[in-house]
This record gives sequence, structure tokens and C-alpha cells, in this order.
Amino acid sequence: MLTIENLHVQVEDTPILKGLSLQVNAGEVHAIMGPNGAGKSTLTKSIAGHSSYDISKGSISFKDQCIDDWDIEDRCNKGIFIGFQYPTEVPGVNNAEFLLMAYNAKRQSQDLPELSSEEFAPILNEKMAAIQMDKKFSDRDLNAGFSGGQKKRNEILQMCILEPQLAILDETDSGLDIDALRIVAAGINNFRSDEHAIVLITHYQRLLDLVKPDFVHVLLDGKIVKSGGPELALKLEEKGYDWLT
Amino acid sequence: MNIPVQKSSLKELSTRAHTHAKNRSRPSVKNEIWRNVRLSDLEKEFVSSQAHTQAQTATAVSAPESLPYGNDNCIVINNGQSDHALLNTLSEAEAWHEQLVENDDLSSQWLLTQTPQHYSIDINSDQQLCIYNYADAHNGHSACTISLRIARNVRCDIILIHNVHSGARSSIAIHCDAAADSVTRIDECESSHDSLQQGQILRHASMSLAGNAQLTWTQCQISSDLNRSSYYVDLNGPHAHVDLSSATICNGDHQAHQYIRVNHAQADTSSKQTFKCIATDNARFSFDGLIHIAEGADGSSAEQINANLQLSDTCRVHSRPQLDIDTDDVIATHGSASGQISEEEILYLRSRGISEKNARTLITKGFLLEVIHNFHSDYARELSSTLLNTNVL
Repeated sequence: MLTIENLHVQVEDTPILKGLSLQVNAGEVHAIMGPNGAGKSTLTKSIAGHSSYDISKGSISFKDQCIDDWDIEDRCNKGIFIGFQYPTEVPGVNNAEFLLMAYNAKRQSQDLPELSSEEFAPILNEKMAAIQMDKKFSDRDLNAGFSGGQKKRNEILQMCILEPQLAILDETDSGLDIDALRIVAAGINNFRSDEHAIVLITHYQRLLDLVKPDFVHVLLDGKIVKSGGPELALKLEEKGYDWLT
Repeated sequence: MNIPVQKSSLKELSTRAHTHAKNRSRPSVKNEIWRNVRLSDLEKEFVSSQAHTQAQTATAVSAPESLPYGNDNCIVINNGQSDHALLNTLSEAEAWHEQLVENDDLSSQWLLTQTPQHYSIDINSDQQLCIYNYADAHNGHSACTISLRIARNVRCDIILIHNVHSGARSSIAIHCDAAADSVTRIDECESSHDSLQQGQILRHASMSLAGNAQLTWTQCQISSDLNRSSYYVDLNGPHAHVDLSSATICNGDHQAHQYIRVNHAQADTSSKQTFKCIATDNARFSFDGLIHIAEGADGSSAEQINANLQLSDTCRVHSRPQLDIDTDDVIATHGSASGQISEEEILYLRSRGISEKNARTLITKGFLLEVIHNFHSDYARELSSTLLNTNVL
């Protein structure tokens, strides 16, 4: 599903990723852990296609196609979803209207007819109910005035509506209380299937207690330095990252 | 109403602004001839233009489009006057003037001519009223005044619709005297009936609110080539409240200027101002808003925000929010923000599959929707939303 080979990424001539390689197959859940500044968010934004992140070497492929030249919106419409660490607030843009526009953009990319707001309403209501999100959030402006946890839940809602094949969730668990964490984890587990791949970027074990990863990777100084199974996360929880340097 | 402003500081500010513009090889706003027209010159121009058009009759208009509240609750202003015979009786008409501050572009008050047509309306019970301001290019500069007296405990909803054709200029002055405990809501918008391009609309609004009177004035101006608004509000009784909001789109070589003076004369009064503008091409927009809280007006609260989206490198925006507070126990906030669309917002929308073009349109329209949603009437909201969809870049 996702193949990253020897990826080098720099931001304003400062190298951040220094030869990262990763293979994620359909049906797998990978967790990427690492200290602050290791390059986790840089990896996320590079996959998203953020123009500030310059791929100087290596490549990123999705379903065996190199995505380096794909526009940001094309990456989403072809099946890549990024759940951001800090979702952007967009005042004045209605949340439901935005979700409909995103949903129709994907349908248009698949040569399917667009839905009206009336046709989309039951889909939206069902997805919101599945993650126990209050309907009033559909009338609010996109992420504007949302708490941190509400923003993360809105990211999961978008993932559920857009139904990507690959979901990369950057610190989705940060800012969530215990109950919200359970609901978000349930949403991720509902998405989990043999056709989907998930990459969880997290600092903490608590999300991984609820969403069991198949593989855990440690990102340190711009490279993956160690990979293993779920037990690796437990070891990191116990020992930290120093023993890896 | 005369709010004292230090002329020397205005002069210095003006000089600095001109030097700044000159250093960047940009034409100074002093070159905007309209802003420096003297009263006497304007009167001569108006009378002269009317004299030349005496042979023409005013274009007949009788509410050509479907207006809210029905014909019985509609005043149609036809080129500012209904009878050319009035041209010879200017001295009998009620006149009003504003003094032009000479050579000070950033705080200029513009001049409005004597008015041959005056409407005096007493609203003594709950009422809905539509004022349809029509002006076409055959009749030059048209003008009228409307005096509204809203009685105590009365609720009054007014929709003011402008249909000012390209090439025409309409001056309209509204004096509103709101008695205690009254609630007045004014929606001001532009018609799209005859043309999507409006002419020049000059409006002067003076409002006096007694105790516990509430007045909301929401304006949407989208397609006129020159729009000038001045608002003077006196909050003369405790718990009087005024809410002024405006959404402006200024493109091409269009200009829009907002001049607001809110005077908290009594204790426990409150005001809110929300002025938003989208400027592009070579458009020019200015906001000059002063909140004055008088000595003794304790417990008052005032909020002012001017936000401007600049979509081109050649448009110009002047923003001058001001607070003049003569007492201690108040809450007063003001803010101004001008800039381009946030790249982070665009990236976020694109990451959800929305094209860059659609993302920019969504954000731009959303910028003004806060004001559009403030309209009390579905009519004004839908009309303005339609014009917004047509004109948003």
C-alpha cells in the first residue's frame, strides 16, 4: 500500500528526514514512535504533499505509484488520508458544507454523481453517531472554537466519511480524555480491515492498548532505527529512547 | 455631533501615510478627487446637472421587483425625488451637511448635497417597512433624506434596498430617533434586479437611541463602484445598544469607505461593530471607526472589529480603529486585521480533496458570511448570498 524508500526531506535547507524507509501493506496497523523533533510530523506532511517540505532524495509510493508529483487534493481523492496533529481552524466555513464538498470531490474523482446536502445528511448523521459526535458540530464552523479533543474527533469523522485506503493519524490521541480516547479508538478499529492500512504516530502506549498495532517503529533523528511488534512499544514505555542511541 | 479629534495628530498621520505611499511609488489617496470635493462645488454640480435634465422626466419605477413586506409597506424613492417641480424649491427642503476635513484623507468626511426630497416617518406600532432606493443615470445625482421616529416599545424591521444604476449617484441620509425600549432592525442590501453593477451610493446615517433602545444595522455592499457610509450613533440612555455590521466586496477600481462614530453618552450602554471587506484588483477600502465613551458612562461596553481580506497586491486598505475613553469602568475592545487568505487553511481543505480554487472560494465566502447571517430578514440574506456567490472571486 505505502512504500517509502530512503526518504530524505529538508525544510528550508535543513535536513529533517535522513534516509527513512517504510513498507505498509493493506490490512496492517503500524505505529511510529519517537522523541520530539525526530521527524514524525515531517513524515506526515511529506506524505500529505505540503509544499514547504522538499524531498531531496528517495521516494514515496502509494499502491506502486510514485506520488511525489501528485497534488495535495489528488492524494486525498486517490485514497490517502492525513489526520493532522494540529487541525487547522477555518472560520466561516460550515463543517457540514465542508464535509459535503470533500465527499463530492472524491465522488467526482471516481466519476460518480455529486450528492445534494439532503442526500448527504443521513450519511453524515450516521457517521457522527458512530463516533458519538454531537450533531451540533455539523452546524459549527470547521474546527473553529473546538477543543483539542473535538478537533481530533472531527478528524476521525472526516476519515470515516472519506473512507480512504491509507490513514496516517498524527498524534490523534493527544488532548483526548479517557472517554474520548475510547471513542476515537473505536472509530479507528471500525476502519480497520483487510483493505485498509493505518499508520499511527503517537508518543504514548495508551492508544496502542486500544488499537493493537501489528508493527511498531522507532523514528530517531530522521530515520527508523528499530522495528518490532507490539512488545517494542511496551519496552519504550518502560525504558524511554536513550537505549536506542 | 462633534467628537473632538486632535487635528495636529491627524495631520502628522496623513503626512506619514502620503510619504509612505510616495516612497513605494504608489499614487497617494489624495488623488481621489471625490474625497476633496467641497460642499459648495458639489451643490453647484448637483443643481447644474438637474437643470440640464429638466426636460427629461424621471424614469418611472413602481417597485418592479417583488419586494418584501408588500406594496403597502414600501417606500419607493425614485431618483431622490418624484417631481421635477421640486427643483425650484430647494430652500423649502430640509438640508443637511457634513463638514469636509480638508486634505486629510484618512479621516475625511464627505459632503452631501441639499436634498429636495424628504420623508418623515413616525412608527408608533410594530411595523415592517421596505425602502426601495432607485436611481438611474438619466437623473444625475439624486438625493433624499428619511427621518424615522420610532416610538417607545415598538419593534420595527426595515429593509433598505438600493437599485442604483451604473453611472448614477444616489445620496441617502437616514436620521433615526429610537425611543426607549424600542427595537429596530435595519437590513441594507443591493438589488440585482436590473443590473449586477451598481453606481455610486452615498449614505449618511445618524441615530439617537434612548434608554434600552436596541438598533441593529446590517449592510452588504457588493457591486457598487463607489460606496461611502457614515454612521453617527448617540447612545443617550442606559442600556441602549447598537450593533453595526457590514460586508463589502470591492473589486476593479471600486472604492468603499466606512466612517463610524459611536458615542456612549450614558452609563451601561453597549455597542458592537463588525466591518469586513474583501478587496482585490485596484480597489480601495477604508475604515475609520471611533468609539467615544464619555465621562460618566461607566459600565459601558464597546467592541469593534475590522477585518480585511486582500486578494491582490495592488488593492489598498486603510484601517483606523480608535478608542476615546473618558472614564474608567468600561470594557472596550477594538481590532483590525488585514491580509491574504491563510495558506494553512487552503492546505487543510486541499488535504481533504478540495481543489485550490474551490478552497479559496469557500474561505472567501465564509469570511463574509458572519455578517450575512446577521440579517434579520430571509429576503436580505438570500439576496446578498446570491450576489456574494456571483461576485466572489
